Amino acid sequence: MRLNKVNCIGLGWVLALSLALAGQSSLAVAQEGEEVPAPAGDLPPPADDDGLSDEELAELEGGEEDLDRVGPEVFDEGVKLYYEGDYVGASKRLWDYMSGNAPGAKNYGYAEYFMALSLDQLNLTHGAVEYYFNVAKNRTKPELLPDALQALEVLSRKVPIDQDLIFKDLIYDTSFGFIREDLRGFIEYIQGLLDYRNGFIQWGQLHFQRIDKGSYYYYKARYVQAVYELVKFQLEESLKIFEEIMASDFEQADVINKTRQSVARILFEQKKFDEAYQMYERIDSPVEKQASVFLEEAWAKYYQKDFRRAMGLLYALEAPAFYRYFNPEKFLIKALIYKNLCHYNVAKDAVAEYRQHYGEAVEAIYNRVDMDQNEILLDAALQDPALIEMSEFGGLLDTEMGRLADYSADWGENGLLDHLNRIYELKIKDTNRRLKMKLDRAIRSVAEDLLEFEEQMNLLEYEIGLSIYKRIKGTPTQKEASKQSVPSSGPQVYYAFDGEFWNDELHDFRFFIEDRCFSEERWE
Amino acid sequence: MRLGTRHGGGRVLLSALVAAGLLLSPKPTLAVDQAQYQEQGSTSPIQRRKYELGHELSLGWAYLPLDAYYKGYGLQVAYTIHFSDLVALELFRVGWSYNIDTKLKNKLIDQMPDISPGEFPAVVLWEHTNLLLKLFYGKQSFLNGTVLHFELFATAGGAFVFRNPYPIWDGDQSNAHYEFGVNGGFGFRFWLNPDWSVRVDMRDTVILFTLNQSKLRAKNSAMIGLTFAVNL
Amino acid sequence: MHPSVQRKFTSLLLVSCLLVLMGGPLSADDSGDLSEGRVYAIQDRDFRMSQEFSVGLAFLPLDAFYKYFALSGHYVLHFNDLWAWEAIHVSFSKFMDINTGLEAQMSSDWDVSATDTEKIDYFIDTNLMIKPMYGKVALFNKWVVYLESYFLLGVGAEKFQTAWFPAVDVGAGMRIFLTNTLSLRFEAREYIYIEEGGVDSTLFLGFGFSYNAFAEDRFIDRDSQRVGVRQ
Repeated sequence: MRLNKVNCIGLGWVLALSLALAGQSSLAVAQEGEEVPAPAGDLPPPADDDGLSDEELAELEGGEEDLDRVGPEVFDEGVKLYYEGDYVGASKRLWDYMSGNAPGAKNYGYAEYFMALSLDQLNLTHGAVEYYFNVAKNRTKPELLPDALQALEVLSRKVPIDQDLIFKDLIYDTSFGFIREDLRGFIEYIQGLLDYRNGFIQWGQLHFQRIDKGSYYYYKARYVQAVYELVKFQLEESLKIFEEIMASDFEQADVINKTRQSVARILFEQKKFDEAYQMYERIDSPVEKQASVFLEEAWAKYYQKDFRRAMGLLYALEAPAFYRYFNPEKFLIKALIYKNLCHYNVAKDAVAEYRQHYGEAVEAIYNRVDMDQNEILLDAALQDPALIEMSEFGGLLDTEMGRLADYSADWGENGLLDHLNRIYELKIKDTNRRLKMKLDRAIRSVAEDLLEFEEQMNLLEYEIGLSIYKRIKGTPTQKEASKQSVPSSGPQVYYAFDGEFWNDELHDFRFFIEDRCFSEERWE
Repeated sequence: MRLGTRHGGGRVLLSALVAAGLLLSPKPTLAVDQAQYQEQGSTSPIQRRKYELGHELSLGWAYLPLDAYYKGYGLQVAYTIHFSDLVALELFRVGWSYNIDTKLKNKLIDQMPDISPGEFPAVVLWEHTNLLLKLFYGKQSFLNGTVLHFELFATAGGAFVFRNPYPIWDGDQSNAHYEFGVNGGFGFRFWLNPDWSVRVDMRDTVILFTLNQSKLRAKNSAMIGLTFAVNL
Repeated sequence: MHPSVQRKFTSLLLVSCLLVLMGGPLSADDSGDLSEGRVYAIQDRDFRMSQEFSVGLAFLPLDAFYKYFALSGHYVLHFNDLWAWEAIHVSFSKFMDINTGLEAQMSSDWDVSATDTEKIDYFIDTNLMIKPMYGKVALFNKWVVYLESYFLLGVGAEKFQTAWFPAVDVGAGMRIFLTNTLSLRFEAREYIYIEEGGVDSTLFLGFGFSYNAFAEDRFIDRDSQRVGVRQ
């Protein structure tokens, strides 16, 4: 039927997303010609809109006249404070040392490294990244390179970081020579991934071949290769690689879960709904990262006609963790399920609920005005895989910059606070600029999706009305619907849902409702 | 860097040692530590509690069962500020007890003319200021039908106790004791709805000193409270 | 109020209070009507009891002259997830009493000596156990711990120094599951015994470790289940 075809088309994004994720799985490469601000220590020339004069910059960097006035005892004190766990004090003294010495000073590289460590400990991760970058890029102390790279590798997995700065400017553009075995995988993976993204497949393969088999980055590299095969429509080869990844014994690793989701999507497209569902259920990432999993599972269960389970999964999507998740499909599936169970009034309510959520956004699209001012569209656009990491990075910068004020008493006097504020300000401006460049395209894409859903909802609303009319005209039947009951005891425990979301329950919701269709034909 | 200064050499040496220490510090082993690659998520098992408390006022009954000479039946009122899901401050819990003599006390007074009722000071009023540590929050499914939400907590704090052998309205306070001590115990609460809950407290108060009595005798009094609490 | 009646009343109040509180949801809303739809989180019970052997400590707080500690042992046969039979419970409190000092105080203050108070030696009883509530709690907002509540009704006897008294008991408790085979029990029981010339009662507060023998008989096949979502 027409509506279902539309749904299937709607599900095409599932595969498309898989492809997009591969390219941008952990990397958002800057657009060509984009300007990447230099890291701390090497502050960039003032941008047109930042209003920093040369004098101000010189002051920020400590001023020439102050150089060489600070002795090594200040550095030693900073290091001592670091080892004593006083990271605020350590940063202060290290900045005293750095601002009073030229970058060529003997301990300058160490000072930058300890500054990075201290900021890292204070959860000022972007500040730390800037200094790790300096240590790794300038290599005034080459012996610190592995430690700096290792810290960057860990941060790249734990928090959003400036990927242009680290991946592109540092790792992709630098030849590191011999590198420690445990870091080689990370370096080769990033270099290979960027080669793949730039179309240099053979070079990428060379990088990937140098990664130790069985390591985390080996599987990440294999994932990139599997997606590349998928792009070439080499389904068998792609599945082979995916299976190899799934056979690994890593638990709760992003690459394994992305692989499971990709395979589930392929199975779904092959209409193997049960297998797809089982594959989705194997995903063990933290629940708050599983919004798309719940939605896709709901589709799989819907097509299996397991409406009780499908609706349960939609309820899971009501959890606070998914509050910002853009999913007009939820209302579509909900209305379809109610309609299939001949609960026409609530089916209509689901359509109305959709309008309540997205009506304003749809109106904005029709009117073609201020689309980027519409909160729903903006929010949805920021969930675009291409933007999500950038927006998360922007959020992190805002948060960390806000926390800098906590240290004003310690860092205000010697200029470190101003220095860090300036670093964060510049990065925020740059991130916002890049976000804005990509946002317009993402908003257009969201708008198109939303219009498609609007069309489907209109059609569904019409079909619901038609069904109500048919039912009124039809003859009631004596046929009994299958009874649903909740046992008072047994090997399973039933928690009646009351609005409180326990993470361990989200996959276990079931919707109990009577089937009112009796002898009516179901919606197919 | 001024290497030529008097202390400079030493400093440089220290710096070098620090740096060497840094380089010699244990490096990660080459074996793959898979745990580090696990995705990090929220550590809280509940995304948002349905039942959260801010300022709580509770009012209810109290029962003081342990004294050999009387049993106390009382009323109490408490005000608690909940700072988080884990910690709360019970700013005050004030209670009054109506005491009923036990058989033992009656027998003693009846049979021993020398013994005066004034020799049996009983807890009449008390005040507790406590910290609450809310260890458990959870729910239970009753016969797979209804879900009951509850929490269990531990509590401890300071206590003031006013003991008197006679009820307040008798006005005779010649044998009154003003006592200070500490109290501790456990309790639980279950919610009737997001605003109202029923709270049960079990506490023991140990008296450390008595203001107007020189005779030191370790005393304790247990209290069981059943109160209705409203989240303001 | 007569003191002995009062004691019975207060003891009963304690236990009935617990019973009422733990049975609170009885009066709550009913889940029968599914016409408008209702959502349940349906989960396999991670912990199911089979044959339980338990040892523990008990405290008997209400006697004026002696506070008793007791060593307890239980064997419970769990028929299913709702019903069980505590085939035997024995608690020994002989030689485990603590003198409250009341006698000494009476003697020193008023030169009075109390008449002999019979001490409790032990309890023995058999109980029907119903476990209508199963659930979970977040410990420190971080870990999920599973538990169940149960209620007891039984008959038995209390042995005092000189005589046996027949008794009935009611109780309520909570079991916290540590593993499939180990759990902790916290419970309160009220023993109402018939003594010469009347009825009296004893409040029993217990805590115990339980071993769940043959636990594998009750395991649910989880092969097809997803992994790792539980935090």
